[in-house]
Amino acid sequence: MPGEAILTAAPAALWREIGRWSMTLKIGSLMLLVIVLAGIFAPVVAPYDPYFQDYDKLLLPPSASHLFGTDQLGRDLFSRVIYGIRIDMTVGFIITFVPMIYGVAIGALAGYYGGVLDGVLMRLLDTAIAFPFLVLIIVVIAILGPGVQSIYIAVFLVAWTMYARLARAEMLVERSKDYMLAAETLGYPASRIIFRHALPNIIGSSVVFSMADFVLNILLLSGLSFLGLGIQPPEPEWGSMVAEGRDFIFDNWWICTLPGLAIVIAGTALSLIGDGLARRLGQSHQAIL
Amino acid sequence: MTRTEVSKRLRRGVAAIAAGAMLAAGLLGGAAALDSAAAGEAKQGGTLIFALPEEPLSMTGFTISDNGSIWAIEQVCDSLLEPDDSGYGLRPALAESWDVSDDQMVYTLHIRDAKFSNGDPVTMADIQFSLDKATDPEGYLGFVFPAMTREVVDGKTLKITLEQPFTPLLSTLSLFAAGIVHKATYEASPEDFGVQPVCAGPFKVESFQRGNKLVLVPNEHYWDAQPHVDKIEMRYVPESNARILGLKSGDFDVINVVPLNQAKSIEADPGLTLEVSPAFRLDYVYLNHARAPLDNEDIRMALNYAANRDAILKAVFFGYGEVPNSYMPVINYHCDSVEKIAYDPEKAKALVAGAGYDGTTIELIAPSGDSATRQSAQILQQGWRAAGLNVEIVEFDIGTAFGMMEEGNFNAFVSYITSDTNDQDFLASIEADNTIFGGFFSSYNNKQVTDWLTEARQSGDPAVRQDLYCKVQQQVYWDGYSVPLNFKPFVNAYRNDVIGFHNSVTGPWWLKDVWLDR
Repeated sequence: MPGEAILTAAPAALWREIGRWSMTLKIGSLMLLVIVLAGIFAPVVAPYDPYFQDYDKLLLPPSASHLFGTDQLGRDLFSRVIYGIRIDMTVGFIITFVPMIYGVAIGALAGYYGGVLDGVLMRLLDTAIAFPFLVLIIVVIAILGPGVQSIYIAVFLVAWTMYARLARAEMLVERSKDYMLAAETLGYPASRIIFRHALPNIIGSSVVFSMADFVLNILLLSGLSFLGLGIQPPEPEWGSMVAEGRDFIFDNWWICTLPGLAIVIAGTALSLIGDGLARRLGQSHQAIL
Repeated sequence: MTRTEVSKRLRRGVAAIAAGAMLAAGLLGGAAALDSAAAGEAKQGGTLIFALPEEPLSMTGFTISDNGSIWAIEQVCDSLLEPDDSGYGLRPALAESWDVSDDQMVYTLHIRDAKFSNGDPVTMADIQFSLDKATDPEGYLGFVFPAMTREVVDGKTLKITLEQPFTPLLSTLSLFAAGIVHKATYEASPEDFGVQPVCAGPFKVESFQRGNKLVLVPNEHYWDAQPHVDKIEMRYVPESNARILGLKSGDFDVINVVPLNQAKSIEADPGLTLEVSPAFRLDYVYLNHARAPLDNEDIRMALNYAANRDAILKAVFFGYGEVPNSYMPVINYHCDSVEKIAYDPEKAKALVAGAGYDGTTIELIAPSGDSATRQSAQILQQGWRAAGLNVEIVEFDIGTAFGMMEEGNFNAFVSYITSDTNDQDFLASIEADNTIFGGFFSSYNNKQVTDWLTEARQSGDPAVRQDLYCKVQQQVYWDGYSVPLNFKPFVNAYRNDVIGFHNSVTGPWWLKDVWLDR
């Protein structure tokens, strides 16, 4: 089964699996691995304290001692970009995959049972989609105050909808296939049919979409921080670094350009993985058929 | 060297000195005199394009308080008096002269023959109506006006009788909020008036597209000399980089609120003039004394000692301004002798340790999208954390932040204050007299200060007032009223062929004196 090929690849089989990967998937994964490792080992990789302000070293251009230069408060930009991985990748991961879990579950249930449950869940989904996201997050922030918890809540309220739609559509197709009917005939409980038999077959499109979603979510987080609605200073979040550097773009280009580049690189890595996964899943699908 | 060039050089020189030393009125008055000398040979015509960072929202002075609207209204609506070129003094506008009784209780204003932009004469009914709107205690700026009765003596004379002496009265009458409007037009529809006002200022509105541009043309019925330019386009350009690029490429003639990190590059451009002029402005951190832990004076003083103002002046303001020695801007009774609170991290640490601080988080609010205040906040946070205080920066959009301030739902807020009048009393009372405005969100309440301010407000003797305001400044500043950051000047830039532009110290600029040398 295509989904399981990825999900249950044992360490021993991992290299064989990687051997089947396309070049895009390999390059994307390698880039992501490097980014994640740099984030995990940030204290080792980063040469300076990302928070320390040195007022004698304001706005220094990139050099050997400060690879990315320093910002308007004399902080080492390279260290801040490295520490920024922790924030952007962690928050990006959470706001992508948590909604994916219950989004797929909701979609699968709606698609499997149909009828009234389907109607109720899909109207709920329409409501969530209809609400403008920026308005929603501003409301949440007005109630809870700015910060990452407000982003979580606002995103969790709306981000599941795409996954639910994808999973529901796939479930409607799978629902009438022979193996599902067989499972029902054998008298398996619905939970086992949905999550053990159907799920691996309906999750492929959600996994592919999640990579694109991950990229969009990093951009969303950066965008919110850029507007001052997201991660609060002095945390080294990429988007807020870009925002702070905006006024300096003519004379001190590096302050917003280099953190911006970090966003581009992380986004490219995830996009390559998304493309590669789509192709890889498509291959195994064809192989099975 | 032509006379124009001489005056331009002198003016630039004056601006540079003023930036360093916050000069007194005399020298700036001199600069103004040079301007009007230059205006004698002024060229007529041309379109002046002015790029604004804030958009005019409405042309109704009674209902607005945003800078974009104020800047526009100042060109269109005359008040009875107006600030002079420097902003430190007053000069006649719709009132050609005035008398003040010896007991400072009765003001008699002699109104000149003037016409509105639609050709109707300015009548006593219009003046009464406008002042009723302006002084309405429910109105937006109603609280700045004292209790008074107004009496029309004859068609040319207005007598104002106060209940208590109030020296700053004439200053408040010069406010944009006390602009005289055409009663019939305003009453027909205040909304339409906000777009197409009928006033008696040097310009009138030709067209007004909200969020884009406001086009002004000279008001042919204006009581004084006609403006020099044929047309003014005030364009709303919120992005500062776009304003700078537009100025350098010649798309704009004047920009204001220049981002300070780019001021040097404008100064270096031979085709451009950078104007740095003193402002009635103080950038400071509002503190809420009603809420722990800032109810403790030691903690407030620790915030002051641990504030690295030199670093802020260098990194955020690029040297433009001066480390303050007051809780309010430098206005007419500013006291130089008050000692500055020095940067002393050790003392801050000791104060925090001695104050029994329990680790309560101090939330430092910075308006979102404003990178300068965000940087100030981060410098403050580094110093305050080092002093042992638990400080978190939170960003809110400006509307939410002001709402929280009004509810008293804040600890500390990085912002600023400006004075619209040239009298010390306006801000001193708003900020420090608890009976006037509750200490301007600080809850500051000191009976002695209230008494001093009341006495100063009612005294007609400048020496007495100076002495009292010095005492107030010393007391309030050293009570840790706030964390003052910078006496920030106005920084504007214009093309060299724009002659006669300068910022008055209260904020507005008068485009009627500006001409284009092309």
